[in-house]
Amino acid sequence: MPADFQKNMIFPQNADKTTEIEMQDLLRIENLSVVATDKKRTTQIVSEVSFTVRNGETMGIIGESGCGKSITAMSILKLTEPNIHIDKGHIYWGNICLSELSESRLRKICGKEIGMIFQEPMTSLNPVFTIKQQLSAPIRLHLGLSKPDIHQRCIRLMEDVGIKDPEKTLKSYPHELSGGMCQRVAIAIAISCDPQLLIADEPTTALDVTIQAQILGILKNLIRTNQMALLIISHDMGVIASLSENITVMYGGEIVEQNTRDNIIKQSSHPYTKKLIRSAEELYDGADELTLVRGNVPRPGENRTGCRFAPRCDLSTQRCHAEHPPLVQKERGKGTVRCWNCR
Amino acid sequence: MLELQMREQNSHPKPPLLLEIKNICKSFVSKNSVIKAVDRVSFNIHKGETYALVGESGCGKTTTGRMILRLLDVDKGQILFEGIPISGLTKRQLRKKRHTIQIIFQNPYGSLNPRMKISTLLAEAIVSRAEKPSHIRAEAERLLQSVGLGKENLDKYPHEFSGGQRQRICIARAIATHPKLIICDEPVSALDLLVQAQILCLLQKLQKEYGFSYLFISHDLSVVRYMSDRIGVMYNGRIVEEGTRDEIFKNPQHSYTRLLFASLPTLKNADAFAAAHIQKDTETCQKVLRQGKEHSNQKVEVSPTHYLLADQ
Amino acid sequence: MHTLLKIREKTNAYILTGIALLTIVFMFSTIGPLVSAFDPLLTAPAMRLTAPGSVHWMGTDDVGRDVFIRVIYGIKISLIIGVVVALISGITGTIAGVSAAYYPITSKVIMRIVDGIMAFPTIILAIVLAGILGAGMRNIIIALSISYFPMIARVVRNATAEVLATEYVESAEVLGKSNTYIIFRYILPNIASPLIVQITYTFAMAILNESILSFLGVGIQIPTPSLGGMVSDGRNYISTAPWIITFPGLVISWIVLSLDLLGDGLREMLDPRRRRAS
Repeated sequence: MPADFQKNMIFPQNADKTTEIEMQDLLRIENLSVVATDKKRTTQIVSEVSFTVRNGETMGIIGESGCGKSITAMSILKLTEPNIHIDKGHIYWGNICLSELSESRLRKICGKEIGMIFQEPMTSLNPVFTIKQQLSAPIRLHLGLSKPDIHQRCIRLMEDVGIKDPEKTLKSYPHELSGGMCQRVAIAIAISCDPQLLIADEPTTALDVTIQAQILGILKNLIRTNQMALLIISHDMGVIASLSENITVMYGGEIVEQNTRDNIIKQSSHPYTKKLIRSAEELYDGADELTLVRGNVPRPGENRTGCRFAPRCDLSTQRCHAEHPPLVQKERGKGTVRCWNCR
Repeated sequence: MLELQMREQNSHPKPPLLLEIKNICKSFVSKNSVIKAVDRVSFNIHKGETYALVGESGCGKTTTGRMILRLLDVDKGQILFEGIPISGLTKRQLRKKRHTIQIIFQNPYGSLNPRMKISTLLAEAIVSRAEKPSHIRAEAERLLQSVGLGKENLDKYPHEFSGGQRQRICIARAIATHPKLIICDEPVSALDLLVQAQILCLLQKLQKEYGFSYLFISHDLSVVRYMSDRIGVMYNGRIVEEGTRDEIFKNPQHSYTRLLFASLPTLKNADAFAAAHIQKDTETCQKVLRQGKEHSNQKVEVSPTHYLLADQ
Repeated sequence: MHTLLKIREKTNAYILTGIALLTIVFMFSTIGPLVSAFDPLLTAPAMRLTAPGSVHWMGTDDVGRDVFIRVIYGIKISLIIGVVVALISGITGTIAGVSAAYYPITSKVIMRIVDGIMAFPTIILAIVLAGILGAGMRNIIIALSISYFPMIARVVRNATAEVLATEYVESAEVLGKSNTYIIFRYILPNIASPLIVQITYTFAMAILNESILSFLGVGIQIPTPSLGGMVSDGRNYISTAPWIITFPGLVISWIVLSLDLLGDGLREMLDPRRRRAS
């Protein structure tokens, strides 16, 4: 399936370039641990997260709030709050180690090679500048085009994200646009310099369902035509499933399962993933009774022994409570899973 | 309309009416325009029933809820609660009646006074009842347990709880007054999937136990399917389609209802959803938008319980 | 108990320094009269313009009064004026601000008055008022309270409007709670933080402005000792007897500095934007 997908994407004029990078990992996160420090203590929010996004590939991270999925995405470009920082592990962008890069060099990559969209479209745009000013800034900065070229590019970008009246929209201010429009503009800004990777952190959570469907469609089209890789973070299984080829499931700050989308949806192994999928299916497809998972998500820094899901798991054994399971390759089939009971 | 109601009553006896909403309108005036938030909305809620208002942000569903609570006054039309028009009540009368309708808000972080302990929050709701219980603290403990929280939580402050737990406290506060109707304004949309399921089940359980009615306001069809008996689909301030849950889900008639269904993400066939559907739907949406402005007042009846507004 | 704990957790260096500095001033003014044998009003022309020494710790002024004991009494008067002005303008400002936020019609009237008062620079307004009312401690307090209440009213009105828009206030309305109940149990506790900070600043500004009024001659009347009045008296002798002006001047700066530190610290501690983590 992934191979097929990539074949469709390769355009003749770029064929050489693409095949060259195709083999490479675009973004590689190795054993990433993130901690939050305050005066008294340090709390581990993300522990030993590793994954790879290859060129043109889409990766979805799913998990409930507080599972560390957003922090993971934010720490790629060091956008976390000042008291949150990387404790261990590395983030590689091609051959460059992003986690050791200086702020200024990082800013050069950020926006040009990596684009980012956030959850709140209204707040991610600057209210005192017009859309055109905000859209042309990164183009001028990173690509150094001439004025008419910039304008041309702005118009094209606006059309790419499905805005019907680009000239008028370019002249308006963010508060004159609806949430859906703002998110389209935010996407246009993120892809303005043809990034190789787009990071989308809950891009549709603040939007209505019909607008969500449109935005998902736009993202889907963009990654196909621009040959972009996508890292999408969401708590919504439907959103993740519709956009990503590979899915990483996070719980309590760590990865519990990683596999291709179809394997996750049809034959997930980890009890948490199973519950998540079942709940999503019940809601989307209708059910008279909902399966309940007792308890709450663990708060960061609480209960470090044993499997983090054990207190809520129906299948938990003594071992689950006592020993922390490692993330291992599944014995049958592809993918990795962190569970003592299913391998 | 009258005929329709009579036929309803003849065919199968329904529990008595709790809330009747008759052609209510509400407009907001901003600097240079008038926005019709709610436009000629009518529906009924029977005792023990769950009625859902579905629609996207700005469709007027929340405004409708606030008018029923009289946090807002209606411009035109009537709201009858147990046969009494609530817009006619004086402030004093209203205050005495307030405990019969309660609300659960969307954002569990903003709906509890951060400076009050849980015990105080519950106690102030309990004393709003018509008949006050003799032992308030014991009652507060009982309430907390019935929403699945231990009594050791009584002396904590709201910020010590997670979103799902806070929503449970909000529910406990809402049921503390022994209300007859609870308005749930997007009660689970700020919560995670697994917590959503917990809260929905809790709401169902409490309804069985206490027998109150819900007005369930949500943008999420999947949540509504689980919760509701009857559904009204709202769009641009109007109810464009109304029917029982099965009628709406199995046989959606109005183009907007169908668009809502098409937009719902699904796990089966995820690829088809994102790629093929959307192109078509975006166009449908534009068409619906144009149509929305031209809704007539003409109701097309599909079945005695199912009607839609005709597109012109 | 919980609030106490939270305060201890978040107390910062500013607050501690502010409180420490204030305590020193307070101790100074309480212990002072006990250790000094002089009378603040007693003139001794023979001893005029004596430099600080073992008898007169801060020297004497142009009519031979002991500067130390006069500073002590000046501090007392300043602190009293500061506290009373802060309280009066705090209470009136809160009443005006809350009612302005609550009742739209009152709001128009109150806020126009507030805007009108705020159009004048505070000190000029206070001078004019003190001029009209006449000098004396009571009139200074009235003049300063009128000058400072608008600022508090405005802070309170904005904070109240913010709280009124929250869902928890609506939830209380839905329970059928009366406006009085909502104001005392919902609004006041939730606007306490900005209010306390503003009152602390008012305290400092009142002390500073009392000194200015006294310096200009419309404040505390001679011979009653006041810090501003002493600075005013001492300025003619700044080259021959600098101690007359130095000590009261230093004390004014000391008090205002400590209150400002306290205000800054409180703002930092109570500011909701810094409280997100909790």
